[in-house]
Amino acid sequence: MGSDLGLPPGLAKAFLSAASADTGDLARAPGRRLLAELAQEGADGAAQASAPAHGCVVVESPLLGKRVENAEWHENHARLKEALVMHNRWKHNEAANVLKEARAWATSSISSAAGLSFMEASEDGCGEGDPRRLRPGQQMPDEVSPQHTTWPPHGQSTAKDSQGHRAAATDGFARDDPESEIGAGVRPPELRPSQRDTLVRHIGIAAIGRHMGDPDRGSLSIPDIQDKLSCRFTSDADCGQEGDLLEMVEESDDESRHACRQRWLQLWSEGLEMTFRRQPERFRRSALLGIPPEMRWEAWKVALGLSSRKTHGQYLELLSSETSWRRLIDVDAPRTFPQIPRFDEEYRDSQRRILHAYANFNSEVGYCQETGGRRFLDVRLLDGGLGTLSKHFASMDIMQYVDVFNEQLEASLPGLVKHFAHEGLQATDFLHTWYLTLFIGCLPLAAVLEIWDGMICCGGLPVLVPVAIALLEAIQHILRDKPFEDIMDFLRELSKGLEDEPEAGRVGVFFYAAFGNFSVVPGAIRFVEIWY
Amino acid sequence: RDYDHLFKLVLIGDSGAGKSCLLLRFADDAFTESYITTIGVDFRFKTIPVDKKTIKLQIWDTAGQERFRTITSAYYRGADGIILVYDICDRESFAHVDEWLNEVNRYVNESTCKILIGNKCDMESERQVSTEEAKKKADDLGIAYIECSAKEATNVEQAFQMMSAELIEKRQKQGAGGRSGPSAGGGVGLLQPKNREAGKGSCGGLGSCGGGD
Repeated sequence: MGSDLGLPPGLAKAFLSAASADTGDLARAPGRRLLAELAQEGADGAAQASAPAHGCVVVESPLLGKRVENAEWHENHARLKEALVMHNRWKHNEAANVLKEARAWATSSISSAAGLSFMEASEDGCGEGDPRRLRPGQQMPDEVSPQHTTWPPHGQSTAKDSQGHRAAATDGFARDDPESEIGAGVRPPELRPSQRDTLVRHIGIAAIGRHMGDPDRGSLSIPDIQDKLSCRFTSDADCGQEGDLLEMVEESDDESRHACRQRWLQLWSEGLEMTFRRQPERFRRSALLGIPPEMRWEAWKVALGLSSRKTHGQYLELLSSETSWRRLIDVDAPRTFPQIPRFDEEYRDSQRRILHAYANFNSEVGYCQETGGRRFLDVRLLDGGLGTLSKHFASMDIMQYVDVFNEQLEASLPGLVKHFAHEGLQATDFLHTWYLTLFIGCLPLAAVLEIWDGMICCGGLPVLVPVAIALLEAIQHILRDKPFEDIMDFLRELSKGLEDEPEAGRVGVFFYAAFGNFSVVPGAIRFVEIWY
Repeated sequence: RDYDHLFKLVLIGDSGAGKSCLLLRFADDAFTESYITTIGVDFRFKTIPVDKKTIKLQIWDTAGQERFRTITSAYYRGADGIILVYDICDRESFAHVDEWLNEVNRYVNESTCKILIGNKCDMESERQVSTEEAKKKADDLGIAYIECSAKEATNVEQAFQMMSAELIEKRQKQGAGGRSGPSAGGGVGLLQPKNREAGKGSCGGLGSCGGGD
């Protein structure tokens, strides 16, 4: 199908000149880069199918509203349109996959037998039998990597891309055989909080410290959420397992924390890595309850497959080469979590190094402030386990999630959607920030960490859809009475709305409990717009 | 309704130029040395009196990094005013002014009011762009120029006043005998082409923001 989708040479060139005149150095972005290739290929009269999708997007604006009398143009236009339709169909399928994953995730929460079915399914024949393939942290780059935003949509080539990508992602990380360390390397010596865990605590406390304490704002509280969510659970009494989960969540704070800790202590004594591999479902369900701070780092490492990798050499290598992102990184370093005392100069230096290395590691993404929003995590991946996780986040094709989200919101909370429409508010007004930052800064950090527990250890990025909807559901009674400006204010203040860290942490768990029972309703997926 | 006019403003400019700080100063009269990076877009509003009229400003603060353009550009559409911010201590951010204007001009029409702000004018010793040069640039571009300091609250209120006054004047010219302006409340015409078209230029707006005329 390749050549018949190709853009005619003349059109490609016209697009290029129009676009480059207009966008200047935008050519750096991945989509733009393909534009140059397009022109080159176009000039050769052998445009490949990989180009039109990008070419037509970039130049969209300059060409809009101009009449073209040239007959050749119309012919070209028809072909372009065909290419667009193909592209959209492909994006459509991609969005359908996201939906499928989200649904699979939700379902697997209910049926323990499903276990990691969603992960296995998404790996789809690649490297079965290799436990490394089953890490949630690893599948996402393949799912939504920038490579996948390129043409062509047909299976063979995409699969090739995907494998090349996989190779790149694991290169340098997979050299040490994880087998050798399984069981042996995991020791639960004592629960003395490590430096990183102390950081977690500081972050939580500082976030709460900013609490403004204005009751009129209708701040989020546990009873609020319980109210909103429990009805859903009681109406689904048949979900025995979720009942379990909810029971634990609903216990008084101390008790549930204690139960949760006991559970994790047990896992720890059996070996986290071992449990993760042999009883993935048990590991996953425990993660859903929130991971005790002192074990969080180890659990994340296990879930991401970082625990047994020695990557320091590669890290130093990445550090030593220069990147064009240095200036921006320097601008941003001082303004990451400025309110957290632990982010002192030493941490900032560390953070700079990590971002620098990351920009080199994933040069396609480079440095991005959205990664920046997540730097918090990077800092905790400190000079050792760089890579996998960030890769997984930075390559996220956010628009697919936004699309699926909009659809699900409409299906789940039509009243709220109506109110938003009445107020002229678009979900993207806040959703972009939620997704780009993975809720950092949008919720109290203790809650964010709990959400990340689930994301990292259980479902990967698709869980963002139900989490966001569960969050809105929990607060919709507040939002429904507010005008546009107040909604935006309220959402901004969410990160300050919780009195103490444990409570904030429970909120995160609640969102998980909420969407454990949340089924993502399939529906007609809107034509996915092209964003590159 | 508790205002005479509603205007939608969008802050743009390089990352680190001080957009969010200007907005924080204007909306909350506060300042912090290390404001968190804006990811995507942020929103604030404030009601101010201008020429005996009550003006409600809805202000969208956008991320400066280029990567976010696809997201932020959606907010240029339907904006009544564009506030372009650069850092007087950072020549590069000044050099990018043209680029920023080109970018927004793809989405806005001629009736959109624009203003150039040189921020951080409290840091005179580190200045890299002279007032004269910036003034000349603004004149060439045909837009107003003002130097501000979010830190010391210099000219911040004035900048927004200036913009509001200009917008009122424009709207009164346009809306003589009619009503204009985008619908009350609501985001900047993101994915709302009809609203967007109606809100721009002509007097046939959806809302009724010109009530004071």
